[in-house]
Amino acid sequence: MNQKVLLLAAVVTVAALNPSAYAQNDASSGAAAAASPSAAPASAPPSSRKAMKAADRKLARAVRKAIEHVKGLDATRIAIVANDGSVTLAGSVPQAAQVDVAVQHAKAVPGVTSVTSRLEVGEIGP
Amino acid sequence: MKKTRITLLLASVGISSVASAQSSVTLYGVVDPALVFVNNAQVGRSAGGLRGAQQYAMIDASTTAYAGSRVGFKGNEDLGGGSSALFVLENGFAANTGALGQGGLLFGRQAYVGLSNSGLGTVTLGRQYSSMIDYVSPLTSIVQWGGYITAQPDDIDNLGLTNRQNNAVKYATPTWNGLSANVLYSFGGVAGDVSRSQIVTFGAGYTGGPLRIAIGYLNAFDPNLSMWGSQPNAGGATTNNIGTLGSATTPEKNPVMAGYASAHREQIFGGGASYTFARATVGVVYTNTRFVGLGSNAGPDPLGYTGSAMFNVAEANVSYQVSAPLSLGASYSYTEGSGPVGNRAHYNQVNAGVHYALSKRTDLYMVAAWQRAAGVDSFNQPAVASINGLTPSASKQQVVDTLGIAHRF
Repeated sequence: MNQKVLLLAAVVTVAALNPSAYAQNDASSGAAAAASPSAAPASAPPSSRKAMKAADRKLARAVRKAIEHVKGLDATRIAIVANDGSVTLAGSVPQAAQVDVAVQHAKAVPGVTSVTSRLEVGEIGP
Repeated sequence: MKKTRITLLLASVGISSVASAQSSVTLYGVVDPALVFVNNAQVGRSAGGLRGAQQYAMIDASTTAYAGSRVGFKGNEDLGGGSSALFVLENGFAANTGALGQGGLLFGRQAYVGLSNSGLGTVTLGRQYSSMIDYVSPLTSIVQWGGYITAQPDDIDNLGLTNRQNNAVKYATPTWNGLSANVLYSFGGVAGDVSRSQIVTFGAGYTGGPLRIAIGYLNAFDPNLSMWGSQPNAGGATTNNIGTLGSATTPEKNPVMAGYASAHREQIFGGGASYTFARATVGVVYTNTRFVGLGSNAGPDPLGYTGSAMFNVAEANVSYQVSAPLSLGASYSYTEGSGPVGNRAHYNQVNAGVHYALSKRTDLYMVAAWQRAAGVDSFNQPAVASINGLTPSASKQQVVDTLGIAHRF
């Protein structure tokens, strides 16, 4: 159907945009990760892509646990993506002050080498 | 949203510097025109029935996807002792034409002022969102990733922010262990008839850990005047402000419920919950909307309806963060309506969206929706698909695809 073709086209476009778009925003965290490749979690070195993905998922879940019961932080619209120790927080929080709270608690999780916030303040709606 | 912050140094005009330290005015907004493809939009009616055609257009996101264009100011003034004064003035406009939104209002989205105390709560006065929107809308795909077109057919339960409440006083409690509530009263303002066009809403919610739960209720007297009559492009009781049956050369508008403009009251209640995993959020929402006391003098009743009409809606939605910039969303909703003359209709809708965030402020997106209708609608005619914000289809099916850029400041 028309719709599927368009959806596919958008995903492809988006994928093509990826590297250049990220060069600037993630400059700090990317550089940090490159400078300290030994900062990966202390557990056995990932033997494959699959094992690395599993470790990323595990780390994201650990961050999720760490931020979701913090007093004064509404974490119900925060999505967490982990990539070899560097963690990105996406989504939104209700108030500006909560962005820093979320970042602080994510940074404190063992195995996290850097935290990038993409959190917006408030949900914008239609 | 990253805001441009302008701190007003009240000290410079001779007011206490203690108060000025915490006082601020913030300028913010969204610009979001969307490219829209609709597979079938009505153009009129002939002897053979409704006529429809394909449409390609640019339409502001306020009636398509994803985030309606707006410019707003909000401010806060510390009054000491945990109290503050606050205001919000928020204009809606169409980015594709520059026109004022909400039927031509200057501050059509929100306009209110109020007092807040950390222990006692917040009271605000002006044009505001109902409690139902405050609490239940954030659980839908509409607010999370889909925008106006992913609301229920013709936004039957108003979770898509179609109607705001004028002349409204709202009291919101402080948040206590994740629990909070608010209540709103909108004055009808009619001399000699206190209840005419009044609106009462309340809502409550709980947020804790991964879980969010909310309920809401709205009761609008004379909804053709109070809900749909609150914009300058609306008419009085002799005008159907909800929609129209169309003509030989004009399309229908809101056929899902516009036949019920003569209702004495509109009652909506609903609730929902969402659960958040590391990368994914899943949610469910249920709403019940009733048009009660059909045949009242609040609006035209050309079909001579009496009694009531009811709609039940169930929605399930999911969003998934694929990578730092890329997220996906999908939702499904089922709407069933029953009218006063045995006219029953049901609508199935599937929505899907892709967002690619170039930065915190700039977002490329595509949101698509598909709807299929069956049965008999509020005009006692064979039901046609009517995705919210679009001109209804001439057939049982409608597909819309939107592509846009939402920029926040």
